[in-house]
Amino acid sequence: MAERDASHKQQSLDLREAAEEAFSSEKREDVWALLIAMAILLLSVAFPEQIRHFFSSTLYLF
Amino acid sequence: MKSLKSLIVPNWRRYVPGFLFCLVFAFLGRNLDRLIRNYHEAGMAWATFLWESAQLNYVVILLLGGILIRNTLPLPKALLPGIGVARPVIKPGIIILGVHYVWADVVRVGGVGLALTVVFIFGTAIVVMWWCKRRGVSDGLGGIMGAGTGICGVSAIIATSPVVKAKPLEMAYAIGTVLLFGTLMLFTMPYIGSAIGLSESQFGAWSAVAILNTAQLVAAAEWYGPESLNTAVLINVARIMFLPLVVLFALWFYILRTGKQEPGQTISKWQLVKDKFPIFILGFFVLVLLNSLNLGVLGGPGIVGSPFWAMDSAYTWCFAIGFAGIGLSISIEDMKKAGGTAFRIGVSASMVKMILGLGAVLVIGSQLLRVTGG
Repeated sequence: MAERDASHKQQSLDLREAAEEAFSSEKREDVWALLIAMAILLLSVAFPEQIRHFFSSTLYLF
Repeated sequence: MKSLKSLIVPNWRRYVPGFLFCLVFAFLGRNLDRLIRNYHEAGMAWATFLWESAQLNYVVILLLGGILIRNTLPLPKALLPGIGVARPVIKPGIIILGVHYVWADVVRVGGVGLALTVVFIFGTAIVVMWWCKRRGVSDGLGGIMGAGTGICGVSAIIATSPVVKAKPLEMAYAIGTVLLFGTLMLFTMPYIGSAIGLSESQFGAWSAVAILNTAQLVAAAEWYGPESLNTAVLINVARIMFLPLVVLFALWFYILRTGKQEPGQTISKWQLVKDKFPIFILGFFVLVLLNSLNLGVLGGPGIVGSPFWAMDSAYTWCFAIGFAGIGLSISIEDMKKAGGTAFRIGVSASMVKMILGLGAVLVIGSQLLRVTGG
């Protein structure tokens, strides 16, 4: 009985840790998304023609 | 310094091979899309068939191709962690898409979207949680299924699970069900929409109501057309803002209302809202604001040579990388985990939401759901 309780408690702890880890990674993803978008905005302000050309032509083989 | 360190993913090296694989796959998918379109424009019959009848654009190439690769080829295990990391690259794409809107769109389409969101998110979450309680389904499963079918799928399940103390097996069932349904809807809804003659903006709103996962919803809307994508993304942004409130509702429904709070335990509701708020959508709103201010220095997506015009060319690449990640991460083995009570709840809630959502967008019509971009 005590063993089952301990395993249940451990399972809950693992789940909580996994959920917290998943959420901290979600927050990290959000911050990275903001940084990437900001970098693209800054590059687009500095070199609009080149950025457009890179995404619309350079990356295509055909 | 500590916050800078927290930006670096622990063991980041193990994500590199899979992420690079997704980049290459996205690159091939976009190029194949361009090749088919070029031949179609040159009048080649086979290309016209693929482009117009089979609707074989980069979304389908990456999703179907990814599923095929994942489930038929022996992918090295080393690639799997990085494939999971590619999916969220859709987020910077959504932020960049902010240059397509002005505040008038946010108020009009976002206002309608907000009403749809409130009715469907809270309607589904409340009905599912209440129904589960009545049928004796555990609080853990009822809570995560209510949040998962009401709002944005897997994120909502993960966010709600510690609050309602869901068991790992219940989470596996719930996530399996949400992924299975999202995939089925992603591949069927565009055909249903075309068959019943839904306009692009109506389809965008319908998919934002019915498809639970943000990435799958963006894929379905992008597949249907550019107007559909604009409407879907705006309503989805309104929807995901409610994630903290749904978690708060689950906390009240299962813990506070029933007095199941542990003795001496204090729960800060404001902290909970702050922790669960998806901050990337702030970037989207900043770009909408900048576009609405009509600043000459930034221009607009239609003004050749302006920064927003340059930026506008980047979002499809972010989406392509994300779609590569989605396709390659859809494993039939994972979907087999969908089952039992979670499956029955998921089927019922998703089907009802899909049908009622379709009725709602048919009643609302195209005009109110159309993004004009000023």
